[in-house]
Amino acid sequence: MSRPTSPPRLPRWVLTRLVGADVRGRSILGDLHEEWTARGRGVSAGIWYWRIVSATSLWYGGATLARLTKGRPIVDLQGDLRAAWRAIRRSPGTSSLIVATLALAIGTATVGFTFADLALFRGLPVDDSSRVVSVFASDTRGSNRRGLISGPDFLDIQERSQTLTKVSAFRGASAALIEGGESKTLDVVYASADLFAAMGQHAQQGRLFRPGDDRVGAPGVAVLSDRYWREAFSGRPAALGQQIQIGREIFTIVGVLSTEMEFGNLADIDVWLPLRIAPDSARDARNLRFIARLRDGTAFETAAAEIAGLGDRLADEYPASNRGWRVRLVPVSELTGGEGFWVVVALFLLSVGLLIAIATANVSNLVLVRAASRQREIAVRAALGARQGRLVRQLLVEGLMLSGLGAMLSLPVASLALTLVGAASSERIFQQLRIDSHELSFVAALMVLCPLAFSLFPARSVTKLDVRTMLNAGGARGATTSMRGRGWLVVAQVALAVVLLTASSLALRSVRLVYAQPLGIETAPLVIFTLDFNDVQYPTPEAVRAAARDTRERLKALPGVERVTMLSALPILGAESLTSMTADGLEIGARDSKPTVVVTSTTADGGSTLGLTMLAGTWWSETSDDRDPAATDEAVVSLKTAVAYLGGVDAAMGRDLTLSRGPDTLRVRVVGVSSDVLAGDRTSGPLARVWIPLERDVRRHAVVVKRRGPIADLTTGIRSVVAAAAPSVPIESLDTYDRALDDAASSDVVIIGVLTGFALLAVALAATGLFGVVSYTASQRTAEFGTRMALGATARDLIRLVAFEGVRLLAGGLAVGLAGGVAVGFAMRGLLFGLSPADPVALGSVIGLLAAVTLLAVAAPALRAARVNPVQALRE
Amino acid sequence: VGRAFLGEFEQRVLLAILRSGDQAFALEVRRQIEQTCGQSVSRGAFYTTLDRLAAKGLVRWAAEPGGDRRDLQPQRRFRVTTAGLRELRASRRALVALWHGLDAVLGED
Repeated sequence: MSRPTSPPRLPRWVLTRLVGADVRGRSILGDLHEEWTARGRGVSAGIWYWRIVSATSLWYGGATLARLTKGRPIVDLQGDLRAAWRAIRRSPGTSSLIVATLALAIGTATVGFTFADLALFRGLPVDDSSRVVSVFASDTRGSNRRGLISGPDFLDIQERSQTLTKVSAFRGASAALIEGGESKTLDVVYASADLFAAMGQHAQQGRLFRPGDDRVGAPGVAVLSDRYWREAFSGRPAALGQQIQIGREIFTIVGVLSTEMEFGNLADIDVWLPLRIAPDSARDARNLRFIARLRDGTAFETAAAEIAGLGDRLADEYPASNRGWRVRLVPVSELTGGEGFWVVVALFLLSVGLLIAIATANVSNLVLVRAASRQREIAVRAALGARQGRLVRQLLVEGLMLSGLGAMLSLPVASLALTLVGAASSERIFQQLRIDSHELSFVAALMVLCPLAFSLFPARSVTKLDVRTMLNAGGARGATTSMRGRGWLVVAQVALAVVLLTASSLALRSVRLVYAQPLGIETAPLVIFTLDFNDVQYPTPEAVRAAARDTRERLKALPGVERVTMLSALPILGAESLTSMTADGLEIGARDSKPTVVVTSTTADGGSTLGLTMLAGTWWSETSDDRDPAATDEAVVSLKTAVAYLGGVDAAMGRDLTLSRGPDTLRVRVVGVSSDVLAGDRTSGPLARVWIPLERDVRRHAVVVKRRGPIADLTTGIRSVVAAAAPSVPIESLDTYDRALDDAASSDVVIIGVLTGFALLAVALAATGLFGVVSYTASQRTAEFGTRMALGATARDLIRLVAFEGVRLLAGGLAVGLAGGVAVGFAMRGLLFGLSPADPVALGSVIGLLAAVTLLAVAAPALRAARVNPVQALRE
Repeated sequence: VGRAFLGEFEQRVLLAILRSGDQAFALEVRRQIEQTCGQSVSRGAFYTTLDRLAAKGLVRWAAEPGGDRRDLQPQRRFRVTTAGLRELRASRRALVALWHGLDAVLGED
């Protein structure tokens, strides 16, 4: 591993804030950097740096406080601080337990907060986002709820809308950058000229698109993302004005976007190109995302009504493509993530709140224990004339000091957890989670708020004591009163933990059900990659076809290869857009939309490579792959297509279908019915699909290689074959099908993992709370146990006695918590797949886990009670 | 109002600056104190003391460019001012006067 070139980012940032960025501050930073370098820059040097910065921050914080409060005798802060420090040092065990609890809870909550922060505060790179809107198209069949819109529909809305301004559209794509005869695949977005204006984005170099840049026939201009500009042009301003070749077209670089644009998957975009829409393109090719601004003074509802009306009018004007389709205006925030995104964010925020509440309750408990043991000290102080306010302040300062230490230690906890999250998923969004000023303010707020809760509650019970009884009785009575409070705290803790555990257990089970569904594909022996035969080296469809065929034949000849299939897109993993379909004899209701299906074109062995079963007929023959493509007329439909639209398997055979393909339509005859394949989102069941022979104008080929026998590593073989057969074509994402699926699932894994982590931490905290209360009461009752034993109680009776208390607390917490958990379950119903919010397995496992944990927490004090020696207990 | 004397730690810092001569950079001064007194010195205390001494006009510093080892951050070279020397002398005189005649009690073997 190479040594880092700079010390840990976070403490360095904190230190910069603290010492300032003037010469003096920078010289102190430099001193620490020099010492860090002298320590070898390794892991231990990193830890040293964390430690030093924490200690130094404390010093500067203290010095600032002292300076601020100097000369105000009412607040003897320094005296309070000193006394608090002494009190903390007097019970090091409890103090470190409190600090550790707070560090873990605040650290974990901060991780949850980074997710919410990214979604809520950073969010889409859109200015004044409440005025920015998007649209979704949906059809009467309900198979599209968040559908995109077509180019001509977009142009019509742009022209007719009175309520929207800066109406713009965009779509993502892969494009081949041609450089020195080599081709490289770029992630590009085609955007209409107003897109950046609609979002409120500005150029950091040069300019963005101007009106007219997106006219058909306008000279090509390109805007680079900041990341790509740095990668490909080393961030040189001279990049502006340079020309790049993408496909067969030349584009002039006119500007560079700001880094603000690099949010979520937008961070993957290399180059932004103008979107040119021909007015006569197909109305049912719905592939554009829509962004616009509300005109000044226009309410969202007004615009929504107008757009819905416009959509209905388009449906009347263009029934062939738009009948049954509606257009719905939505706030731009809906574009973030999928349908369940905001539910997940809410769930995270809820977890953060619950976790902090549980930890605060726990710390309250610990503080109560300590306060109980200090009642004499406090009574003495009160007797000597300390006012009540002073005593409360003393406890508060103590709490603040503890939570300050906890908050400081929570930062390494959070940053470690974020490192783990980043390692678990390569999704952009998880790499973008970080701790900066937002998170530090969050931690600081918790640092101040937590002690208010956990110190004031005990402070009340302590300062209400009658001084005389206290001094006389030595504190025994006071302890029992505070026990009732502690019992309630534990019930609350268990209840909150159960809420959290129920929610995460439902989410976990739901995700497991989602991924347990059969895919419909035999993925184990499959290796996949993508080849983009660019139109410079392969100017004609015939050239592409020849090169693809040649590559395929050579791949087939590799040892260990059983089959090689080329497809237009990979099922489940690929971007699969919906196409409208009609069939001879298919009745479509007067107001209904045409059925939509996914059309996948493939070589003839697609079905057998993917492991699909034929339910009727056969795939077309291999020779028809090489026929004149214009004559293509054979297709295989999936079971879902056959049943939903064609009247069943038998009725589907031999039917003629009309599929819309871009501006044209394609007529095919059904020659077979195959088994179903799941949809990419895995939650909407199998897709209605039509398989057709590989199309004439396909340039991007998804290649699926089926391995024979033991899983051989074909990577090297595949690379050398492609290098020989199609030297200028880069191999994209070469991997096994299974690993690619795992990758696609990794974001779900991370989210569920984090949720489960929250819940487990909550349970652990609740369990320690339970343990604390039960063992403390048990120890207070030693004398009573001795008496009972002397009077003939058995060890078993005593165990039952102690265990009963634990079970009582558990039962109270469970009852309240399960009700709350099911309520949360109902709120997140949209996320749950195939199970009800009151799923017995999920709830059962919560109860089981809680019971086991209670057993563990109660076992030690119960056994200790059973081993009480009556003679000794009575003598004490 | 009596004149405030130098605190003990302030004296240590001033003396260490003098001992470091033309190498009186913060790191070296701190090393001097730790080595000569055999005690570790908290960075927070050290830097705030330097700030305080500078504010009182007892030390002055000039920034110099730092190298790669310091991430190109500047480093400060400290110098004790005439006022600083005067204060040190006054402190020494006061301490020596107080120590005088106590050898019987405090003498070391």
